[in-house]
Amino acid sequence: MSNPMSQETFEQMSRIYGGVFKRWPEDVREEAEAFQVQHPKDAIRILGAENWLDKALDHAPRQRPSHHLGEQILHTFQTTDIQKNAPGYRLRTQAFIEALLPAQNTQLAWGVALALIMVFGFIGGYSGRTYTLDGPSVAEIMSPAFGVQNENFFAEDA
Amino acid sequence: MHERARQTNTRAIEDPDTALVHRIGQGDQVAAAEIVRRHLSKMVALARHMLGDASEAEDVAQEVFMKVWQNAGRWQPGKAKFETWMHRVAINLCYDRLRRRREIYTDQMPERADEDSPGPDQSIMDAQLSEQVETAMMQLPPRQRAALSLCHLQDMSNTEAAHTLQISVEALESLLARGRRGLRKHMAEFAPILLER
Repeated sequence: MSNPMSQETFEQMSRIYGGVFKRWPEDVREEAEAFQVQHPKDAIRILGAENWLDKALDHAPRQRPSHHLGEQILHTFQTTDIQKNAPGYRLRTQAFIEALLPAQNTQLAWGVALALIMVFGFIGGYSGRTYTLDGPSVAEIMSPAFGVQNENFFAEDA
Repeated sequence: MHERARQTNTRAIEDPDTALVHRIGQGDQVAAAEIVRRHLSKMVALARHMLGDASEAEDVAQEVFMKVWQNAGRWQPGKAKFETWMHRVAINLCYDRLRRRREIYTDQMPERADEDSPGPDQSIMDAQLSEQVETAMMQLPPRQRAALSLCHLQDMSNTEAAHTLQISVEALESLLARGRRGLRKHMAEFAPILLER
């Protein structure tokens, strides 16, 4: 059997949880009720000092969701179809990455990634060079843009 | 804080939302609608107590459910109730908004209810009281407000509320005691009216 609750503890508990036992922790309710039976006057005085504050708190606004809020939330779910953390999405992403990088070890994966970047960089650089060498001259590109017909316009500036 | 021994809760956590959350993780919109139906009111009420603003409270609730929708696939049951996680998300979103508010506004008290407003009609008195409680709550530091809101207004147990706030039960009790003390100071003039009821 547990020790009887002291008045000091009873007061402390009421200052923390208020004057209604159902809000007190389960493991002390029985002792608190026993204290109330043994010291009814003290218990009434202590709980009474907290009861008005409980009643005040009961008056705190209890906002209900507006009528359309639930529908609005459900609509958002419908339009947000990518669940990045859903197992299906994760499995698909994982499969894609594994297909792209068949490496289990991180260093090799980074190596493959760097190699891919270099390949794409080379292709991009080669295409740019080809366009620059075989394509129109700078003056040809710039002249129409600035409404200049004379090819020597830029040469005169220089 | 006091001498009573605290019992550790060793029971496995029974979470009525587990199956629903699993289905939401697979993109099931019916399950998502059910979780909204179950928890929307609580989320709105909690955000309202934290922020003191109806439209911001609805925004927060919406953000909470968006996070549910996007993160349900990662949920690991057994560690905590899903509802506890939702409350934690809501409180953190409220903290963010309060932080932003503090950056914009100086500490301004909302105006008190007009002392000369109509008399002893019960509903008017209730409305005044409600406004006054909200004003007093908004004067408390956010963590005390969160503790009071979870334990008194959302009827959470002390262990659940401590878990939600990611603090010990002792720290929660300290927040509750200080919160009630602060509230008592701000609401003192209403004590005689409330004691008569």
